[in-house]
Amino acid sequence: MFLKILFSFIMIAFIHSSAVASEFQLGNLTISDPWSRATSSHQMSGVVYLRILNSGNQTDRLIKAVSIHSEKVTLHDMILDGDIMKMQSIKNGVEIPANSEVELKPGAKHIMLMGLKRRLDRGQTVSVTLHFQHAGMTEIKALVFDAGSRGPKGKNLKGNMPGNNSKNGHKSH
Amino acid sequence: MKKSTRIGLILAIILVAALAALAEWLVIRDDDITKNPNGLITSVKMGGAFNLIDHKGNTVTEKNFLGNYVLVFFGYTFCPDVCPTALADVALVLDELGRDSMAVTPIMITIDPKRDKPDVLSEYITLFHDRIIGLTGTEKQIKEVAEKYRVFYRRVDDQEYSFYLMDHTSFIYLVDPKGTVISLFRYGTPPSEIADTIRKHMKG
Ligand SMILES: [Cu+2]
Repeated sequence: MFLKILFSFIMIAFIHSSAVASEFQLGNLTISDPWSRATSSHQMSGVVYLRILNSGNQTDRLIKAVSIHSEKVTLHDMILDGDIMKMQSIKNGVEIPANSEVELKPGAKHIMLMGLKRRLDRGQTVSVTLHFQHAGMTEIKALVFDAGSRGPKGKNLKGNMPGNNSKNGHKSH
Repeated sequence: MKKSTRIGLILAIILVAALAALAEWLVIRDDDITKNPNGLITSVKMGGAFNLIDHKGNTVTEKNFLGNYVLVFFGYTFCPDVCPTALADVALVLDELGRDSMAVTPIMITIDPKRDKPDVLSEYITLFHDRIIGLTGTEKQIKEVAEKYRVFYRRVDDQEYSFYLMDHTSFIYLVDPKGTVISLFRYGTPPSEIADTIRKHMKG
Protein backbone atom coordinates (compact mmCIF):
# COMPACT_ATOMS: atom_id res chain seq x y z
CA MET A 1 0.00 0.00 0.00
CA PHE A 2 2.68 2.45 1.07
CA LEU A 3 4.71 1.59 -2.01
CA LYS A 4 1.67 2.13 -4.17
CA ILE A 5 1.14 5.62 -2.73
CA LEU A 6 4.81 6.44 -3.07
CA PHE A 7 4.71 5.23 -6.66
CA SER A 8 1.72 7.44 -7.49
CA PHE A 9 3.52 10.39 -5.96
CA ILE A 10 6.51 9.74 -8.18
CA MET A 11 4.27 9.40 -11.22
CA ILE A 12 2.44 12.62 -10.38
CA ALA A 13 5.75 14.33 -9.77
CA PHE A 14 7.03 13.67 -13.24
CA ILE A 15 3.76 14.20 -15.03
CA HIS A 16 3.38 17.59 -13.40
CA SER A 17 6.94 18.80 -13.74
CA SER A 18 5.94 22.09 -15.31
CA ALA A 19 9.08 23.77 -16.59
CA VAL A 20 11.16 21.40 -18.66
CA ALA A 21 14.82 22.28 -18.91
CA SER A 22 16.20 22.00 -22.40
CA GLU A 23 19.86 21.92 -21.39
CA PHE A 24 21.69 19.72 -18.94
CA GLN A 25 25.28 20.36 -17.93
CA LEU A 26 27.69 17.63 -16.85
CA GLY A 27 31.32 18.73 -16.61
CA ASN A 28 32.38 19.61 -20.14
CA LEU A 29 29.28 18.07 -21.63
CA THR A 30 26.12 19.96 -22.51
CA ILE A 31 23.11 17.81 -23.31
CA SER A 32 20.49 19.74 -25.24
CA ASP A 33 16.87 19.31 -26.26
CA PRO A 34 16.27 15.70 -25.28
CA TRP A 35 12.99 14.56 -26.81
CA SER A 36 10.94 11.45 -27.37
CA ARG A 37 7.96 10.29 -29.38
CA ALA A 38 4.46 9.44 -28.22
CA THR A 39 3.58 5.76 -28.47
CA SER A 40 0.43 3.67 -28.62
CA SER A 41 -0.41 1.52 -25.60
CA HIS A 42 0.74 -1.62 -27.44
CA GLN A 43 4.18 -0.40 -28.41
CA MET A 44 6.92 -1.98 -26.36
CA SER A 45 9.67 0.35 -27.37
CA GLY A 46 10.28 4.07 -27.35
CA VAL A 47 13.08 6.39 -28.37
CA VAL A 48 15.02 9.30 -26.93
CA TYR A 49 17.00 11.71 -29.09
CA LEU A 50 19.28 14.53 -27.97
CA ARG A 51 22.41 16.48 -28.72
CA ILE A 52 25.63 16.23 -26.73
CA LEU A 53 28.24 18.95 -26.96
CA ASN A 54 31.70 18.17 -25.65
CA SER A 55 33.51 21.45 -25.00
CA GLY A 56 36.45 19.70 -23.35
CA ASN A 57 39.72 18.53 -24.88
CA GLN A 58 39.14 14.88 -24.22
CA THR A 59 36.96 12.40 -26.04
CA ASP A 60 34.10 11.08 -23.94
CA ARG A 61 31.65 8.29 -24.51
CA LEU A 62 28.02 7.74 -23.73
CA ILE A 63 28.34 4.19 -22.49
CA LYS A 64 25.03 3.42 -20.85
CA ALA A 65 21.57 4.75 -20.17
CA VAL A 66 18.87 3.66 -17.75
CA SER A 67 15.27 4.71 -17.25
CA ILE A 68 12.41 3.94 -14.91
CA HIS A 69 10.12 3.91 -17.94
CA SER A 70 11.44 0.74 -19.51
CA GLU A 71 12.92 -2.61 -18.63
CA LYS A 72 16.07 -1.85 -20.54
CA VAL A 73 17.68 1.02 -22.36
CA THR A 74 19.90 0.33 -25.36
CA LEU A 75 22.10 2.55 -27.46
CA HIS A 76 21.19 1.88 -31.07
CA ASP A 77 22.31 2.88 -34.49
CA MET A 78 20.08 2.72 -37.53
CA ILE A 79 22.08 1.43 -40.42
CA LEU A 80 21.22 1.01 -44.05
CA ASP A 81 22.38 -2.30 -45.51
CA GLY A 82 21.50 -1.83 -49.16
CA ASP A 83 17.95 -0.65 -48.68
CA ILE A 84 17.33 -2.70 -45.59
CA MET A 85 16.98 -0.71 -42.39
CA LYS A 86 18.63 -2.40 -39.45
CA MET A 87 18.92 -1.42 -35.83
CA GLN A 88 22.24 -2.31 -34.30
CA SER A 89 23.29 -1.94 -30.72
CA ILE A 90 26.33 0.26 -30.29
CA LYS A 91 28.93 -1.89 -28.60
CA ASN A 92 31.48 0.58 -27.29
CA GLY A 93 29.20 3.48 -26.61
CA VAL A 94 28.58 6.67 -28.54
CA GLU A 95 31.82 8.56 -29.01
CA ILE A 96 31.66 12.28 -28.26
CA PRO A 97 34.91 13.69 -29.69
CA ALA A 98 36.60 16.68 -28.03
CA ASN A 99 35.20 20.06 -29.05
CA SER A 100 32.38 18.69 -31.07
CA GLU A 101 28.70 17.94 -30.94
CA VAL A 102 26.99 14.65 -31.60
CA GLU A 103 23.31 14.43 -32.40
CA LEU A 104 21.14 11.43 -31.76
CA LYS A 105 18.27 11.73 -34.22
CA PRO A 106 15.66 9.78 -36.20
CA GLY A 107 17.14 7.34 -38.69
CA ALA A 108 20.52 7.46 -36.96
CA LYS A 109 21.91 6.86 -33.48
CA HIS A 110 19.26 6.80 -30.79
CA ILE A 111 18.57 5.80 -27.24
CA MET A 112 16.02 3.01 -27.28
CA LEU A 113 13.67 2.29 -24.41
CA MET A 114 13.11 -1.45 -24.63
CA GLY A 115 10.10 -2.87 -22.84
CA LEU A 116 8.16 0.32 -22.19
CA LYS A 117 6.20 0.10 -18.97
CA ARG A 118 3.41 2.32 -20.22
CA ARG A 119 2.37 4.49 -23.11
CA LEU A 120 4.26 7.72 -23.68
CA ASP A 121 1.93 10.66 -24.19
CA ARG A 122 2.71 13.91 -25.92
CA GLY A 123 3.70 16.59 -23.41
CA GLN A 124 4.93 14.15 -20.80
CA THR A 125 8.60 13.92 -19.85
CA VAL A 126 10.74 10.79 -19.78
CA SER A 127 13.61 10.59 -17.30
CA VAL A 128 16.76 8.93 -18.53
CA THR A 129 20.05 8.65 -16.67
CA LEU A 130 23.03 8.90 -18.98
CA HIS A 131 26.38 7.38 -18.04
CA PHE A 132 29.54 8.76 -19.61
CA GLN A 133 32.97 7.20 -19.50
CA HIS A 134 34.64 10.31 -18.10
CA ALA A 135 32.03 12.89 -17.15
CA GLY A 136 30.04 10.50 -14.97
CA MET A 137 26.29 10.34 -14.90
CA THR A 138 23.34 12.71 -15.03
CA GLU A 139 19.60 12.49 -15.27
CA ILE A 140 17.91 14.26 -18.15
CA LYS A 141 14.23 14.70 -18.94
CA ALA A 142 13.15 14.18 -22.51
CA LEU A 143 9.99 15.89 -23.65
CA VAL A 144 7.53 13.70 -25.53
CA PHE A 145 6.44 15.11 -28.88
CA ASP A 146 3.89 13.57 -31.22
CA ALA A 147 4.47 10.08 -32.60
CA GLY A 148 5.96 11.15 -35.91
CA SER A 149 7.80 14.25 -34.73
CA ARG A 150 11.15 15.25 -36.18
CA GLY A 151 12.05 16.91 -32.92
CA PRO A 152 12.46 20.47 -31.75
CA LYS A 153 12.82 23.04 -34.49
CA GLY A 154 14.84 26.24 -34.33
CA LYS A 155 17.72 24.68 -32.45
CA ASN A 156 19.47 27.96 -31.93
CA LEU A 157 16.48 29.66 -30.37
CA LYS A 158 16.65 30.10 -26.65
CA GLY A 159 13.55 29.38 -24.66
CA ASN A 160 11.29 26.41 -24.35
CA MET A 161 9.44 26.11 -27.61
CA PRO A 162 9.53 22.41 -28.31
CA GLY A 163 7.78 21.32 -31.48
CA ASN A 164 7.97 24.89 -32.68
CA ASN A 165 7.12 23.96 -36.23
CA SER A 166 7.86 26.06 -39.23
CA LYS A 167 4.75 27.44 -40.94
CA ASN A 168 4.33 24.60 -43.37
CA GLY A 169 5.00 22.00 -40.73
CA HIS A 170 8.05 20.59 -42.40
CA LYS A 171 11.53 21.42 -43.50
CA SER A 172 12.23 22.17 -47.11
CA HIS A 173 15.21 20.35 -48.52
CA MET B 1 11.36 18.69 -60.22
CA LYS B 2 10.60 16.06 -62.80
CA LYS B 3 14.30 15.50 -63.08
CA SER B 4 14.93 15.06 -59.36
CA THR B 5 12.09 12.56 -59.11
CA ARG B 6 13.55 10.62 -61.98
CA ILE B 7 17.05 10.72 -60.50
CA GLY B 8 15.59 9.59 -57.18
CA LEU B 9 13.96 6.64 -58.83
CA ILE B 10 17.06 5.80 -60.81
CA LEU B 11 19.09 5.89 -57.58
CA ALA B 12 16.52 3.65 -55.97
CA ILE B 13 16.77 1.24 -58.87
CA ILE B 14 20.57 1.22 -58.71
CA LEU B 15 20.50 0.57 -54.99
CA VAL B 16 17.91 -2.10 -55.31
CA ALA B 17 20.01 -3.62 -58.08
CA ALA B 18 22.99 -3.65 -55.74
CA LEU B 19 21.08 -6.06 -53.56
CA ALA B 20 20.94 -8.59 -56.36
CA ALA B 21 23.22 -11.00 -54.58
CA LEU B 22 20.96 -10.93 -51.55
CA ALA B 23 17.68 -11.66 -53.23
CA GLU B 24 17.05 -11.92 -56.92
CA TRP B 25 13.36 -11.05 -56.70
CA LEU B 26 14.17 -7.71 -55.11
CA VAL B 27 15.73 -6.41 -58.30
CA ILE B 28 13.91 -3.89 -60.44
CA ARG B 29 15.27 -3.93 -63.98
CA ASP B 30 14.95 -1.30 -66.66
CA ASP B 31 12.47 -3.43 -68.53
CA ASP B 32 10.30 -3.60 -65.39
CA ILE B 33 9.57 0.06 -65.93
CA THR B 34 7.25 1.60 -68.53
CA LYS B 35 7.28 5.32 -69.29
CA ASN B 36 4.98 7.58 -71.28
CA PRO B 37 6.37 9.93 -73.99
CA ASN B 38 6.87 12.64 -71.35
CA GLY B 39 9.15 10.38 -69.36
CA LEU B 40 6.60 9.92 -66.60
CA ILE B 41 6.66 6.37 -65.25
CA THR B 42 3.36 4.69 -65.92
CA SER B 43 4.10 1.31 -64.45
CA VAL B 44 6.65 -0.57 -62.39
CA LYS B 45 6.30 -4.32 -62.62
CA MET B 46 5.39 -5.10 -59.02
CA GLY B 47 2.43 -5.07 -56.67
CA GLY B 48 -0.88 -6.64 -57.61
CA ALA B 49 -3.59 -8.66 -55.96
CA PHE B 50 -3.73 -9.20 -52.20
CA ASN B 51 -6.10 -10.46 -49.59
CA LEU B 52 -5.68 -8.85 -46.18
CA ILE B 53 -7.52 -7.63 -43.07
CA ASP B 54 -7.85 -3.94 -42.29
CA HIS B 55 -7.47 -2.32 -38.86
CA LYS B 56 -11.23 -2.58 -38.32
CA GLY B 57 -11.13 -6.33 -38.89
CA ASN B 58 -12.66 -6.31 -42.38
CA THR B 59 -11.34 -8.47 -45.21
CA VAL B 60 -10.00 -6.30 -48.01
CA THR B 61 -8.38 -6.88 -51.39
CA GLU B 62 -6.63 -4.58 -53.84
CA LYS B 63 -10.05 -4.00 -55.43
CA ASN B 64 -11.20 -2.01 -52.39
CA PHE B 65 -8.65 0.64 -53.25
CA LEU B 66 -9.22 0.99 -57.00
CA GLY B 67 -10.28 4.45 -58.13
CA ASN B 68 -7.94 6.28 -55.77
CA TYR B 69 -4.20 6.77 -55.73
CA VAL B 70 -2.68 4.67 -52.96
CA LEU B 71 0.48 5.30 -50.96
CA VAL B 72 1.70 1.99 -49.59
CA PHE B 73 4.17 1.63 -46.77
CA PHE B 74 5.38 -1.61 -45.17
CA GLY B 75 6.38 -1.41 -41.51
CA TYR B 76 5.51 -2.59 -38.03
CA THR B 77 4.14 -0.87 -34.98
CA PHE B 78 6.90 -1.88 -32.57
CA CYS B 79 9.37 0.04 -34.71
CA PRO B 80 10.05 3.31 -32.89
CA ASP B 81 12.54 5.05 -35.15
CA VAL B 82 12.11 4.52 -38.91
CA CYS B 83 8.40 3.68 -39.23
CA PRO B 84 7.07 6.72 -37.32
CA THR B 85 9.23 8.96 -39.50
CA ALA B 86 7.92 7.36 -42.68
CA LEU B 87 4.30 7.53 -41.51
CA ALA B 88 4.72 11.16 -40.49
CA ASP B 89 6.07 11.79 -43.99
CA VAL B 90 2.99 10.15 -45.50
CA ALA B 91 0.82 12.46 -43.36
CA LEU B 92 2.86 15.44 -44.59
CA VAL B 93 2.35 14.35 -48.21
CA LEU B 94 -1.41 14.43 -47.59
CA ASP B 95 -1.15 17.86 -45.93
CA GLU B 96 0.85 19.13 -48.87
CA LEU B 97 -1.75 17.88 -51.35
CA GLY B 98 -4.51 19.77 -49.56
CA ARG B 99 -7.94 18.82 -50.90
CA ASP B 100 -6.34 16.67 -53.61
CA SER B 101 -5.30 14.35 -50.80
CA MET B 102 -8.86 12.98 -50.79
CA ALA B 103 -7.89 11.20 -54.00
CA VAL B 104 -5.04 9.44 -52.17
CA THR B 105 -5.47 6.53 -49.76
CA PRO B 106 -2.53 5.96 -47.40
CA ILE B 107 -1.95 2.34 -46.39
CA MET B 108 0.44 0.75 -43.94
CA ILE B 109 0.90 -2.99 -44.41
CA THR B 110 2.48 -4.67 -41.41
CA ILE B 111 5.37 -7.06 -41.87
CA ASP B 112 4.83 -8.23 -38.30
CA PRO B 113 1.35 -9.81 -38.44
CA LYS B 114 2.07 -11.88 -35.36
CA ARG B 115 1.89 -8.84 -33.11
CA ASP B 116 0.13 -6.31 -35.32
CA LYS B 117 -3.46 -7.44 -34.95
CA PRO B 118 -6.20 -5.06 -36.16
CA ASP B 119 -6.66 -3.38 -32.76
CA VAL B 120 -2.91 -2.85 -32.37
CA LEU B 121 -2.70 -1.31 -35.84
CA SER B 122 -5.78 0.79 -35.23
CA GLU B 123 -4.40 2.61 -32.20
CA TYR B 124 -1.02 3.08 -33.85
CA ILE B 125 -2.03 4.53 -37.20
CA THR B 126 -4.37 7.11 -35.69
CA LEU B 127 -1.30 8.60 -34.00
CA PHE B 128 -0.27 9.77 -37.47
CA HIS B 129 -3.29 10.47 -39.65
CA ASP B 130 -6.97 9.80 -39.49
CA ARG B 131 -7.14 8.37 -42.99
CA ILE B 132 -4.26 5.91 -42.84
CA ILE B 133 -5.51 2.35 -43.25
CA GLY B 134 -3.63 -0.41 -41.47
CA LEU B 135 -3.51 -3.83 -43.10
CA THR B 136 -2.56 -7.13 -41.55
CA GLY B 137 -3.24 -10.79 -42.31
CA THR B 138 -1.87 -14.27 -41.79
CA GLU B 139 1.88 -14.75 -42.04
CA LYS B 140 1.30 -16.33 -45.44
CA GLN B 141 -0.86 -13.46 -46.73
CA ILE B 142 1.75 -10.92 -45.61
CA LYS B 143 4.56 -12.92 -47.17
CA GLU B 144 2.67 -12.97 -50.47
CA VAL B 145 2.00 -9.23 -50.61
CA ALA B 146 5.54 -8.41 -49.45
CA GLU B 147 6.98 -10.56 -52.22
CA LYS B 148 4.81 -8.80 -54.78
CA TYR B 149 6.22 -5.47 -53.64
CA ARG B 150 9.71 -6.97 -53.33
CA VAL B 151 9.84 -6.07 -49.68
CA PHE B 152 12.56 -7.73 -47.68
CA TYR B 153 11.86 -8.34 -43.99
CA ARG B 154 13.40 -10.48 -41.33
CA ARG B 155 12.70 -11.04 -37.67
CA VAL B 156 15.64 -10.22 -35.42
CA ASP B 157 15.68 -11.88 -32.02
CA ASP B 158 17.95 -10.77 -29.27
CA GLN B 159 18.56 -12.76 -26.12
CA GLU B 160 18.58 -9.53 -24.17
CA TYR B 161 14.92 -8.78 -24.79
CA SER B 162 11.70 -10.61 -24.38
CA PHE B 163 10.58 -9.29 -27.75
CA TYR B 164 11.96 -8.93 -31.24
CA LEU B 165 12.65 -6.25 -33.82
CA MET B 166 12.48 -6.46 -37.60
CA ASP B 167 14.92 -5.56 -40.35
CA HIS B 168 13.07 -4.35 -43.42
CA THR B 169 13.24 -2.33 -46.62
CA SER B 170 11.17 0.81 -46.33
CA PHE B 171 10.10 2.27 -49.62
CA ILE B 172 6.90 4.20 -50.04
CA TYR B 173 5.04 2.97 -53.13
CA LEU B 174 2.64 4.99 -55.23
CA VAL B 175 -0.15 3.00 -56.85
CA ASP B 176 -2.42 4.56 -59.47
CA PRO B 177 -6.25 4.36 -59.48
CA LYS B 178 -6.08 1.26 -61.72
CA GLY B 179 -3.92 -0.57 -59.20
CA THR B 180 -0.59 -0.20 -61.05
CA VAL B 181 2.55 0.69 -59.10
CA ILE B 182 3.89 3.88 -60.68
CA SER B 183 6.60 5.06 -58.30
CA LEU B 184 8.65 4.07 -55.34
CA PHE B 185 10.33 6.47 -53.00
CA ARG B 186 13.30 5.67 -50.84
CA TYR B 187 13.16 6.26 -47.10
CA GLY B 188 13.88 9.93 -46.48
CA THR B 189 12.43 11.29 -49.74
CA PRO B 190 11.06 14.76 -48.92
CA PRO B 191 7.25 14.69 -48.65
CA SER B 192 7.05 17.66 -51.04
CA GLU B 193 8.77 15.57 -53.72
CA ILE B 194 6.30 12.72 -53.24
CA ALA B 195 3.39 15.19 -53.37
CA ASP B 196 4.79 16.72 -56.59
CA THR B 197 4.99 13.29 -58.23
CA ILE B 198 1.40 12.53 -57.25
CA ARG B 199 0.22 15.89 -58.63
CA LYS B 200 2.03 15.25 -61.88
CA HIS B 201 0.22 11.94 -62.27
CA MET B 202 -3.11 13.52 -61.36
CA LYS B 203 -2.62 15.98 -64.21
CA GLY B 204 -1.73 13.07 -66.48
CU1 LIG C 1 16.51 1.20 -31.78
